[in-house]
Amino acid sequence: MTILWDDPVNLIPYVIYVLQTLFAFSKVKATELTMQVHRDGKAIVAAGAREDMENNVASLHRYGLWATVGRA
Amino acid sequence: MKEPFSREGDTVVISLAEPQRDVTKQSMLLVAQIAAAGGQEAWRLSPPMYDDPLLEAEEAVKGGESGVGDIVTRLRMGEGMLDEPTLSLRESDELATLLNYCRLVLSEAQTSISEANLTPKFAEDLYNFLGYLLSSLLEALSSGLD
Repeated sequence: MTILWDDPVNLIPYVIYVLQTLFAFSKVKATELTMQVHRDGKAIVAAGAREDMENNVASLHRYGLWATVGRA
Repeated sequence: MKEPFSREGDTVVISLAEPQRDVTKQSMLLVAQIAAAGGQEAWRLSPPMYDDPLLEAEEAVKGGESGVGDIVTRLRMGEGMLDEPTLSLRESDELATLLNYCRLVLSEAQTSISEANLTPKFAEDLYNFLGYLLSSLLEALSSGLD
């Protein structure tokens, strides 16, 4: 799975924008996930094959977000 | 006061005053310099790929590229975008990413001694200013998303 972690630098609107742009999430879904990250410290933003998750994480890193590939 | 960035159809209009433009360009070059020098402030540009330490160690052994070199190149090229009157949405997306890179590095520079003669107070001022610019750019970019 793809785990997105909270950090104190990335602006909430920036995280919402990146999730909408990369995963084509609706604004509502992107906002929900972003607030979950903010509240709980992390959120699972995708699940699937390891290679796909590695690609997701690389894309999130390219935007400067803190994400990791986690075990399902 | 006019917003630094505004949306006009499929373009983003840049309305930065000359001093704002200069400070932003200098910030991007400064952060590129810190990252190129391998400064400790740049660690956020290359976070770990896995939450499992064993997998992360395997990745390190494989010698995967950190991507910092690519970011340095993009920052050096990206400052030229600020001379344009308008940017495409793709260019604006890249500019937002670059401004965010700068904030990631400057946030670290506020609490550490830099190799680039950057004082913590100056880093904080730049960090806040770039946050203002990024917010304006995101508002322009997001106006096209649902």
